[in-house]
Amino acid sequence: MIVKMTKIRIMGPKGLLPVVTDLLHGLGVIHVESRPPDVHRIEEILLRRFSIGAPTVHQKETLETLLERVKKLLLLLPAPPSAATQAPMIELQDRPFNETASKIEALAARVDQLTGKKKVHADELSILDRYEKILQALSPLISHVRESRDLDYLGIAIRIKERNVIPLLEQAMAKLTRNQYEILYAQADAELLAALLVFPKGNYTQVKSLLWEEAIGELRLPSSIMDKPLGEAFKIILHKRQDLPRRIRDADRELDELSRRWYGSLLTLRARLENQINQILIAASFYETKMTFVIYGWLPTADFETVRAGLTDRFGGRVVMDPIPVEEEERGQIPVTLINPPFVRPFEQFTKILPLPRYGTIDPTPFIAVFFPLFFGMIIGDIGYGLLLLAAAGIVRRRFRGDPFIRDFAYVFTAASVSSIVWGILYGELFGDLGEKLGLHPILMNRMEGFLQNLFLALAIGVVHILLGVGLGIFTAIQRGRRPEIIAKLSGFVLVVGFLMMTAGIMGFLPRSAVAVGLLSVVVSIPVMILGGGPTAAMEIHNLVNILSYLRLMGIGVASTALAFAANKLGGLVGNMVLGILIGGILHALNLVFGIFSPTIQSLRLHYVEFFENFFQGGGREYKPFRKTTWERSA
Amino acid sequence: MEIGLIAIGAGLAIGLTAFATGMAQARIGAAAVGAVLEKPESFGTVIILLVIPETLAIFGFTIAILILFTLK
Repeated sequence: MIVKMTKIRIMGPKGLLPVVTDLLHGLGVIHVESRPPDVHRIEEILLRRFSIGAPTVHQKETLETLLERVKKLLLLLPAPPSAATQAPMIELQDRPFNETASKIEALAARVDQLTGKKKVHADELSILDRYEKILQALSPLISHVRESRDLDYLGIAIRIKERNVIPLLEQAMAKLTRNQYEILYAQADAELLAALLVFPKGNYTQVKSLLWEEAIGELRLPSSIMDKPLGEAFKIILHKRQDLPRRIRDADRELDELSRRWYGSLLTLRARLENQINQILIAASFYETKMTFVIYGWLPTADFETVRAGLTDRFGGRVVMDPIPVEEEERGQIPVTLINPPFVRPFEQFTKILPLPRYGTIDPTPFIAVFFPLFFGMIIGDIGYGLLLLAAAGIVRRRFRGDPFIRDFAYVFTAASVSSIVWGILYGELFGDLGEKLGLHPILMNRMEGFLQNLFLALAIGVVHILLGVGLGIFTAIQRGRRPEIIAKLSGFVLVVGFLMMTAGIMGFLPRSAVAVGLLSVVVSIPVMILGGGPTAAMEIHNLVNILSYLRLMGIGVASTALAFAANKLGGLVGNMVLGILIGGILHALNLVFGIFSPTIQSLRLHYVEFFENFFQGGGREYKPFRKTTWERSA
Repeated sequence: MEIGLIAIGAGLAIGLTAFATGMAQARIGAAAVGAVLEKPESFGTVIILLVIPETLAIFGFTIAILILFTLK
């Protein structure tokens, strides 16, 4: 259900505003309203927007700068494995701001230095890695070449499949150096040939141009050793190749150490800085007179007395909080938050996929909690699949205990799998017809034979669901006091009931007199609907078609059963028991995967499209209380 | 012969509607991916739009079953 809200106004002397703000921040239940409509009427006379003041703005900027540093540090430092659960360290707590800031600066400088070094080493290593094969191939060739003041070297790499370039290169080198050159070759790997060009120093520029013209890949050395002779450079590279990983490990070790020492404190500091900044920012939503501050907002009605008592205890009547009437124009802007019993709450995840319901309308979560497992179970309807799903949901719940989102979905699928088991018992299905072979018999119907029975069951469930939706629509319309909507919904209800009576009478399920009553209801309800509810009310007729949409409960269910039967049949046809079990198992596994996805989507669709259409009004404004963040929430 | 025609009729009922559903979903799906990328919060609305054409296939399936079971 949607939590009942009260609109409030808090007033007090301006001098108390920082303390009041801190108290409200700690209580964490007030949704501050920045532009309540009633302010506009009196602001020109008395109220004006609260002015934060230059020193506070400066303070906010300083805090934001520090917060950015802290965030950057948290990104750069490796998170210790226990960061999610450990109690935050308090090294920075209760220190003067300047001392904290200078500590963070020093830490940031060291971390920047370490990460910078690490990056340089890693980049260099990646270049060396790229050339490792070529270097390994070229290094023995270097020893054959005598170091000389008159000679120069260039390393090149040629793809084996482009080796026809070699004669052209040799020809060009001969012409360029007047036969004063040598090329030493070594195969780097199956695809790459490494070569060392040796030539007179004076030809260096021309040789480089030649390589560029022939599009031959010259071995480019890292900038730090570019000016060294090739032989010496190779030695340095080989040494670096061994040395760089050690340097990277050293930097990592120091970063780990810094992280162990500081990470918890940084998380705490980040939460504290965010809280301080938010306390400054929220003041921009407050109002003031010459002597007082005024805060408008919303809070759950259930918390009203507690907050008022808290303010009275603390300030002894100098700060007052009063409920104020809600203006007509802001009814759609009342913040919305949902509250449901623990066994219904996980289903809120499905409600939250759509925009929140508007304040004053109906929260559909309890209905989803009943009908989603029902539909899901009806579609899967297999004891074996239900048990497997139940086990999987149990494992996920245990494994992701700390993640509320996954935990909620695991709970939802636990309920859905129990429903699948119950429907499986009713259909007499255990991995398709395997149950029948083991002596299991259907209580309700055999889905592979009782198609029409199944079809009527799906339609009956559709009728109940749609009529419930229309009923909720009538209730909402009455609550909102909208007469055309009430007439449209009521006549829509009569139309569906009348049509059903007529059909049941024709089919012989009800006495013939029901046909006349039903026909009369249909004939009367349509004009009443359009005349009383307006032309758009004719959309209510759509409910008749919507009921047919529930046939998917049968359709998808039968498809799932047929696949399970096929899995058993194919498994049995193989003739080899092990292979048969393997094939059957794979097909059942596939069916189960479809069996999770498809029933979920189809069940949700029946809610979102057919059911919600009758009463759900989205577009609710989320309730965002002004509350302190903790290091866990901030993380 | 008659059984054959009944089977062809049932097959056409589900086949054509499934084909139409596929065509519609392909277009909606392509647009939906773009919409969700630009506005992730539209996921819920997009899912609804995406599954709307499936009703066609469900109706086709129902008609196929009715053909098979009532025209025997």
